[in-house]
Formats: sequence, C-alpha cells, structure tokens
Amino acid sequence: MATVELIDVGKTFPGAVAVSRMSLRIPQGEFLALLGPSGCGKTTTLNLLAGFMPPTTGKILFNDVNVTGIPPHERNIGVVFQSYALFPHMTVFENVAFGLRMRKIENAELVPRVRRALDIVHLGQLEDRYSRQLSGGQQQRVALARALVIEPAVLLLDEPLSNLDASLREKMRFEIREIQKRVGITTVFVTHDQSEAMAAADRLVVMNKGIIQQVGTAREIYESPADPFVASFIGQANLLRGTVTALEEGHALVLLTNNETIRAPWRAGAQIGQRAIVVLRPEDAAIAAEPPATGNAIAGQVLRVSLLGPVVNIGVQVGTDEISIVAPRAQTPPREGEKIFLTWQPSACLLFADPDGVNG
Amino acid sequence: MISDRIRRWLGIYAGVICLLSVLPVLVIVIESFTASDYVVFPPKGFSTKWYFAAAQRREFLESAGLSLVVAFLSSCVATILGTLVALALVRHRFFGRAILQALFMAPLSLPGIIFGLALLQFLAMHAIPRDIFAVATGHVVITLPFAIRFITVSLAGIAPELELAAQSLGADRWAVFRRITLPLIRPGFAASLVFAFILSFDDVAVALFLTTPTSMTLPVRIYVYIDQNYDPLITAVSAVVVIAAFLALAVMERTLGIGRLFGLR
Repeated sequence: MATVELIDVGKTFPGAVAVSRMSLRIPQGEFLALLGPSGCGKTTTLNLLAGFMPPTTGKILFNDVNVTGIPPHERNIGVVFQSYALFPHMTVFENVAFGLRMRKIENAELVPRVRRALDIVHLGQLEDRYSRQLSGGQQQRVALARALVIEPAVLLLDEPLSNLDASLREKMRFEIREIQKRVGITTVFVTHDQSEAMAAADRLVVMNKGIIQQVGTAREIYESPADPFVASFIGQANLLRGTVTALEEGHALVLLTNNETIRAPWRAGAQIGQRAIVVLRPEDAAIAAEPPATGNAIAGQVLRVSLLGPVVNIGVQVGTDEISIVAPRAQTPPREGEKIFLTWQPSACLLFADPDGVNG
Repeated sequence: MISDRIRRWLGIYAGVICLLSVLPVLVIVIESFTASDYVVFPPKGFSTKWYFAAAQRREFLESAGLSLVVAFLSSCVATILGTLVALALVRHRFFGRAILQALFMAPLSLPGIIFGLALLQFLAMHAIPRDIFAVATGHVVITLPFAIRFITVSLAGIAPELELAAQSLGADRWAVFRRITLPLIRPGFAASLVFAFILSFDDVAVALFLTTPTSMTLPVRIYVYIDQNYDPLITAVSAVVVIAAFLALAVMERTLGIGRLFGLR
C-alpha cells in the first residue's frame, strides 16, 4: 500500500509527445481512474508507473521514495492487462503463485496465500485449469488474483473490463471496486469508458493529448467540467456556439449562431465580443409548446424520438445544429417533425470561451 | 466445413503424395535383399548377404557414428545461437537490424558446394585441421538460418504482455526468459533441433570438402563408395539408415509426440 506521486512527468517518443508535464498525487488506498480518448497518454502513464518504460522527464515516488530508475520487478506492483496476459503454460494455481515464487516464498506459506487469493475472486475450485479452459470473466479474475496475491504497493489496471461482454463488465466493475475497498490497495485504473470510471473510481483524471484536463470526483467533474472537452467526454453534452453580446448581473447574454439569444451563468474572464461555447446537458433541458415567461427558450423542430429504456432521447434541430435531450419516459413525447421550444434555466448551463474561436 | 466427399478425396490425395515420397526409398530397401552381385529391381532371389557384407565394413559404422556426433553438435550449437539471434532480432530495435536479418538468412541462398569450397580454403589458409569440428562448424552455418526462422516464429507468437506481466510479478530478465519465454518457444526450439539434426545428417555438399578419409560422414562415405563400386552393399547400408530413421521417428512419436513437439496440437 502506498501513496503514489508523479512529479512533472513527461514521456516523449520519437516524433510524438505521449505525456507532458504531469503532476499528480494519489493518496494511499485511493481508486483513481485515468480516463481519456485513445492516444491521450493514459496507457503510457500506466507503463511509466509500472516501470515498463522510463520517463523522459520528471520522477515517480512510491511512499515518498523515488522509484523512477527502479525496474518493474523491484517495484512491487500488481498489473492487470487488457488481454489478462495469463501464462498459457501454467495452471491457474501456478499463474497466481508466480509472483510468490519469484519472492522465494516457501510452499508452506505460498499454498494458503494462493488459495486465499483465489477465494477472494471466487475461483477456488478452478486452480488446476489452464487459462484456455476459462471464460473471459474467469481469466480476468485470475489476472486480478495474480496481481493481488503479492500484496503490491500499487495495483495498475489497464482497461481490464474492455474484453468482457456488457453484463459481465457491469458485474466485474463493482466486484473490482469491492475487492479494492476490502484490500485497501492504491489503485490506478485506465479506461476510455467514462461510465466505468464514474462507477468505480474515487477520483477521475481526465486526460487529452498527454495533458491532464481535470482531476476530481465524478460529481465534481460532471457538474463543473473544466472545459467543453471534459464536458462532452464525461457524460453527454450539447455544445452551443455563439458570441457574448452583453454582461449583466451574474449572467452573460450569448447570441447563438441561429440568431437567438440565451442567458448563461457569468464566468470569470467572460467579455463582450468573445466567442463562447455554452454547454447544456441533455437532462437539463425540457420541451415546451410555448416559450416560458422566464429562462432560456429556443425554437426547434423534433427530428427523432427514441426510447432508451428509462428515458426518451429526443433530437431537436436548432438552426443547423442538432441538440439532443433526454426526458422521463412517463412524459408524453412530442411527435417527430413537431415545432417546439427547448427550455432550460440559465443556471443549468455552463459558459466557456471557445478555444477554436476568434474573438470578434 | 469440409464435406465428407472432399475429405475423402483429400485423404486419397495425401495418401498418394506420401506413397510417392516413400516409394523410391522403399525400392532401395527391397533391392538390398537381392541375391545378385549387382543392383537390380525387382531383386533376383532373396538374400541377406549384403547386410553381412556391410557389417564387415567397419568404416560405414564409424561414419554413421561420426555423422550422429556431428549432427548432434551442430544442431545444439545452431539452435542455441539461433535462439540468441532471434531474441535480439525480435525483441530489440537497433541500427542495422534489417541488414543483420538479411545477413543471417544469406546462407540459404548460397549453394552448399560453394560454401564448402570457401570454408575449405579458409581452413587451409589458417592451417586449421579438417576434423569433425570443422564439419560441425560448416553445418552450424547452413542450419543456423533455419534455427533462426523457427525460433523467430515462436517468439513472435508470444504476446509481449506475458513478459511484462512476469516482470511486474517480480521476475528479473533471466527469470522471465527461463520461466516464460523459454517454455513458450519450446515448439520452435524442438523443431529447430530436429530440423538442424536432419539437415546436418543429410549434408553431402559441405561435408565433401571438409572430411578426410579418417573423418568421413556417412553421406560422403556412401557417395565415395558409389563413385568407385556400385554393388548392392550400398543399398543395404542405405536400408539400415532408412530403418533407423523410421525407428527414431516412431520412438519420438511415442515418447514426445511429434505433432506436440512442433506445436501442431
């Protein structure tokens, strides 16, 4: 169990920067998710933590000890790979025992420890099988037991659920979380799946192009994303583009590209004439036949209505953009083609400077 | 799926090919039982006298022993060297890797007879004696490309994560190699040993230049004998070699399983 710290860590490959100037402190026992689109540097970060490759700059500390130059086999880490990487020429038992054998642990101690680890992942009865005789979920659990049995300082999980089918993935997600809590091990979990990260992790690190975009709990990041990228990566988000035309008490007025004006909460640095993006979560808007007396309303036409189980997803054409919203299933949905108003309270949306926009 | 009809035809096809490759050898074996003093097919009469005659010629037995030793030495050395080369070529990216790769495969395209001549000149220039070690060295050179190929294919089939996983569990480089890499390339390793052994045991072209009357491998001994006198004694010697090879295969199949050895099952 350890506190993990990255200080100004960077990794450059020939012709590409994979991770740049990353600093992060992971307290002991935390379950941290590294989240981002493919190529964002999350897997590179995991490889750096494991010691599979050296960082170009910066250092990595485990419990305040610099491990930057220490090879993986001396780091005391547990790694679960996306492909599980079970040794095909060994039984389940021998796979799990491998790390203990490398630590020269006598059979008298080794056998009960392996059995206990297999019990934790509910695989006690399969110890004589080979990995090819196991299902994907079972292989995944062997990989987890193999990583946990050595009582590593840090557990590193590289997309461990992505090769499982949807229902098993959901089950394993909570199971991993439950085991992690019980063992109390510092865990770094790499995933591109935001719902996986939100369900399992204490804190999320959202990465893009090798840079940390935001660090926080799922709720913090969902409710106050640092930028439009994070907003659309964590959960669904409609991005409305426009220009700030006026600033008033606590609000900015934004003229959208379809020539309608909406209110958004004022944000430090917002100024008149600035190109802006207004982020609106699908569940924060409603559909109305008439514009309400207060709040934002923009006219649109219903493009599609699809039932997603508990909620209905409605696509609305606004100008040249399509905005999607979700409404409770109980409500009578509008018909496709119907002209309606999209309404929401100004406090429900978020204002950002448009990173690609030229200020006019 | 393959239908039963196609399966039957495939079976017949495979049978015919097997028969065609074995028949000429079978002819030699049958000829060796002739009672005549010259090689003829079908044999005239039945006699085992040529086997007794061959048994009188100690030089064939000595040559067979020598060939086995040379084949054993060269296949072991070629397989170990091949493993080291393949590890470097597959696991590392370095300057000149592509050139090295081509260089290691070069002996494949070189006629053995020219290589034998070159090696002979080299040995003569440096006053190195022509003995079984010279022959074994020549055979290492011609079998090394095969060893490298077999091991490379096996190595390339190992997911890199397996070695990383072992490292993360506390295995140093040597432990990773011994506990993970080596067991997983065993099929290629075995194929390399067997194939190099057979190539070495069969070789005439290279050995022709490197052997002396006191250290002559069996194929060269047979070749030299035929050159001077073509009598059924040589068919008896050949038959013994064929039968020995079949026995060796049968023993390997029973004890190791040839298919498993080559990773086919």
